[in-house]
Amino acid sequence: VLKELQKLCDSVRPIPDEVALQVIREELKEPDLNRIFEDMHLVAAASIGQVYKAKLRSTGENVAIKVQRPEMRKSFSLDLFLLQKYGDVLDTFTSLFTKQAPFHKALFDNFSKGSYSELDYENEAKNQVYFQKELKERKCKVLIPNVYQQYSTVRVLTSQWIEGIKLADSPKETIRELIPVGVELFLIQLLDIGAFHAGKKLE
Amino acid sequence: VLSVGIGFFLPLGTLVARYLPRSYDRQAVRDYWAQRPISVARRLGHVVYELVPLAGSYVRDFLIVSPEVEHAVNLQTLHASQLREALTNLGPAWVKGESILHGLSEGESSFLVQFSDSFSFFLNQVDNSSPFAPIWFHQQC
Repeated sequence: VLKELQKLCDSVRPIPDEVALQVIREELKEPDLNRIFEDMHLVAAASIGQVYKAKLRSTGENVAIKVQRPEMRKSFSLDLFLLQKYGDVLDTFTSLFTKQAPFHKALFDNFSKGSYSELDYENEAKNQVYFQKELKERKCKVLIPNVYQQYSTVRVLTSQWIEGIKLADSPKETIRELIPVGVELFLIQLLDIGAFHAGKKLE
Repeated sequence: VLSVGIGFFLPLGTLVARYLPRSYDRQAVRDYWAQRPISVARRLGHVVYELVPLAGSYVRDFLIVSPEVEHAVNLQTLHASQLREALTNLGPAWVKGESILHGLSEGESSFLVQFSDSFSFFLNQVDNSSPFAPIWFHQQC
């Protein structure tokens, strides 16, 4: 069952390029994206957004441009609203028919708060810069991509392009080599920095 | 449904809910969608359309008819595949929600499994008389 659900992330259909590029144009307030980027092409589609690889015209650096699907905040919040209602019904049921204290509202609110914040790419950029600085200070062997603030907005995040492979596709030896790095990273975040980034890609 | 109805006929206090908040605010999201009952009803209909048949077939296959063990495994895979299809149809928010609930990806799981299996054994008896015992123990940990 988990194997089937694992395919979910890969089964999300990408939105047409024209729609995604229009979002980037609107967000960066640049009608002609060729003035900023060249050789722009889609590399991956995820649940909230999709990623394009391109080269910056100004410096020639490769960048990853993450763009959010249109109307994402609307559709996401509607589903969270339905979840709220579902939580209210469950809590009413729980308090009427059981002796258990109602907890669904708090549980769903916590889930909603976390997932809704992922729609704000400016916040994500801020976190990326924060962890880059903190981990660099501690000489942690983890590379955090640079953020190009001038090309990042609430719905577009432009970062340095770093080549890598998925951890799931790595050989066992590589995973074994990465274990100390991962442990050090988790411990530094939990015990030293006091903030935890859950979206690490150990690649 | 009742609250959506009330929100439609008596949108008291929700007249200014024209924009969604940038960070999550339960009341603001509630106010915004309480003013849009048709969109809510359509979405609810879509969710019911995708998930109720799935729940029905699950009840039929596993609670009413108890399958043989070998057949049950195939049925579970089939149901999981149908669930994946339904969540994909419901849209990115559901995929995101499932991935958060799912928690760990396959790679991360295998990483953690190997991590927990990678510790070397320590001796059954630690020689407390040795002055190096605490240092040795520290290095092993």
